[in-house]
Amino acid sequence: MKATTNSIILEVACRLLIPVLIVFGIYVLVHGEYSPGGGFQAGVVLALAVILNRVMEPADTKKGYWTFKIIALAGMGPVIYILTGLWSIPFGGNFLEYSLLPLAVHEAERHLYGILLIEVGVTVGVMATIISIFDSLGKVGDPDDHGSLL
Amino acid sequence: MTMAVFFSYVIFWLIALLYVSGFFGMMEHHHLVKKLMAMNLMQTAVILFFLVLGQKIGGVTPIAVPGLTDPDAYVNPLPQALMLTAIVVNLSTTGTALAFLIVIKKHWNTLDESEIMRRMDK
Amino acid sequence: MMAHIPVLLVLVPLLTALALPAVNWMMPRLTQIFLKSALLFNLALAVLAMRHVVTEGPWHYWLGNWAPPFGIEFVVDAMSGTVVLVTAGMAFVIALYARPFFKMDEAGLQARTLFYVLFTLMVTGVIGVAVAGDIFTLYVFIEIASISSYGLVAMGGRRAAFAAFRYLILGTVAATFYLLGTGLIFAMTGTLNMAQLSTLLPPMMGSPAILAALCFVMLGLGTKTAMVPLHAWLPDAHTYGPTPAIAFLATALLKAFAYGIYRFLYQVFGGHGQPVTAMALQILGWLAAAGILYGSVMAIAQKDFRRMLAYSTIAQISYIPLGIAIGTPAALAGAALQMISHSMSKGCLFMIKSGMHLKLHTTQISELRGMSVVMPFSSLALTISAFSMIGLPPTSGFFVKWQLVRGAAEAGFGWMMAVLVLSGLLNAVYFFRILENVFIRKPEPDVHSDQSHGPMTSAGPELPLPMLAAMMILAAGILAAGVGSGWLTEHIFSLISLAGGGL
Repeated sequence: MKATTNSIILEVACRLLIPVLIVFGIYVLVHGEYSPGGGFQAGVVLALAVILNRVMEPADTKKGYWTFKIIALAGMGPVIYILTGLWSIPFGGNFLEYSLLPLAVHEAERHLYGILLIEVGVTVGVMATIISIFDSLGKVGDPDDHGSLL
Repeated sequence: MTMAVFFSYVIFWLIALLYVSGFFGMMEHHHLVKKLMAMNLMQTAVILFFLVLGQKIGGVTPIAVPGLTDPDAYVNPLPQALMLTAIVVNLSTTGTALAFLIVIKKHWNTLDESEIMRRMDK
Repeated sequence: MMAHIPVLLVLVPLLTALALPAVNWMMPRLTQIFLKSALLFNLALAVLAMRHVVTEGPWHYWLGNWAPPFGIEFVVDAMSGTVVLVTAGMAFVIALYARPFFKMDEAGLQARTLFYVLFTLMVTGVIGVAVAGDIFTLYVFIEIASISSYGLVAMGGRRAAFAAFRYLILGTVAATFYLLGTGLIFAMTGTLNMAQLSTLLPPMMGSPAILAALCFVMLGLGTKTAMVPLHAWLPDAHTYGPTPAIAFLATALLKAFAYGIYRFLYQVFGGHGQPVTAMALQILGWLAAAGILYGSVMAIAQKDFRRMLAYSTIAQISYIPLGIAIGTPAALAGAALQMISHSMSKGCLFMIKSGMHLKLHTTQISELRGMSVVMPFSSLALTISAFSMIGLPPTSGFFVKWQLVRGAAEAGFGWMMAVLVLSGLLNAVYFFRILENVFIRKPEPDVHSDQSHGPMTSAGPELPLPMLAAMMILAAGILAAGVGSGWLTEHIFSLISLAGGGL
């Protein structure tokens, strides 16, 4: 949390909101298959918590938040999804067959855990994507970048 | 058509109106952002069309109510799940289009389609 | 693991695309090796899948082991196996070619990684379009492939962003039409699985909803496969985009959507057996013939090599809907062979074009004089590709035309035979003009010798070795597909199913 911002209202509001958003995001993720919620919505809420931190910066800030690491994280999210799907293959199932996951619970409960794992992957991916979109808007471009879009 | 039949289909008429407005808006406007918004209108119309397909008279939201086990009492959840995917696809498309518009604005300094095409042909 | 190949065909490129930024961040030197070995592995899987289809028949794979209509299924049969094989092969060859191409670009290594991420995502999308067994899964993969291709086209520089935006608008409108058609089919039948639809739809083919669904789906897929009159996005996108991306776009992406047209018209909507679909196929044939003639005529009028290639693509890609419209086994074999042949020829031509741009610093046809002296291997590859486009034996392009003419003769469409012969002649006009410049004309006298003709006298290989290797692989492939087309027709293409009713 920064000590110097332009607007004290913004700072106080964000300080109150960000912890609530993080907890709410995780709540939405875990309750996704029992009530409205799930991976995409949780990812957006968690991304919002991080973006509010960026919004609190003063208007004339020179600090850029764009790094390449956020794209790496955005890739790793769906990788968790795919690895969960592939996890049941050595145990005799098809792709994404949750009933054959090697978890020590009843067979019907395995669907619950399988879906939770893939939703975690989706959440990480969506969160990193939205944060990267916001960060790249603030990226300072090179004046003579030869016309390359990258 | 009798009035009862007409009014039972009025939602489809409204969705068709939305779809055609989006399509017409895309052809009509010169400003690229307005074209993008009209495209979003078209996509929203298709999403609404799918959601209407699952409705039942007297159906409840497809979240399990304890004690209500009759599948006919719940609205069909399959179109809603499909449309979640379609909404995310629309998000990606809109995000990509806005990124293109930022680059176009930086380079050509205008977002008017006829102006850009005139300059590109030179 | 062998039993899971249909889903691995999609997952391997997807995992590559997602893991590539992380690999590049942690171990930058392994990026290229990771990418190329993953695409080579995918090619091996595609070959194994094709072998399974030839020996044991179509392959249905249920995700999560849920039976349709509750579950999603992936299907590999003869035609989709061909598309997957072409896609995996072109992806590997273009990945070989892309690295020296980017050394010339001033963007950094991380930015180049993002190009490869989008490229591999496009490969995933295209393979997914070929193996999808439900109409909504097909929509998802169509959009994955298309959005990646919008991003890739925009990477070609400043003017490319506007071309990419127009491509995006047209492509998304097409996808929205397709989704609306899917919605209408779902409303009438209640299922999304293609095999089930082929049994459920024939009784209701007369209803206006199914007719509207047919029109919407054909409009959507037709725009994406650049059929005349829905082709307007193609010339600009091909002229301004970066060459490796455009090479893949022009070859594999358009073929996958043409395959989608085949899937819908024959398996979902019932093929020539239904009167509505038979009329749709006839209209498809007219539009395809118009596209062939329009593309060939417009290509003659172009001065820029890239734009000429774009119009030539419009003409050549319309052979596939023409074969689909005729509908006899020979015509479908011709369409499938065209998928293979045109991919290799067009890919080779795009590689030559950017080799020209790198070496001679020009893309105008009139300035290609004397290229055979400076770039002998490229000129050889250019000759083989040009012969394949015109349709001269022993390249595969000749056998494509032969099968299509045979199919047209069997079905009684004499005018289509005339269109095919005429298109060969028109192709000959603009390709021989290029070949004349390359081989017969001498280079211009050295008015501006020292600056621009420096490369003409430099020693060493004419282009970086991976680029040359990729070109030669494709040129050899064109000859091999031509000579082996009989074997291909007998063993693989004869398994392509025609009418509806299960695969």
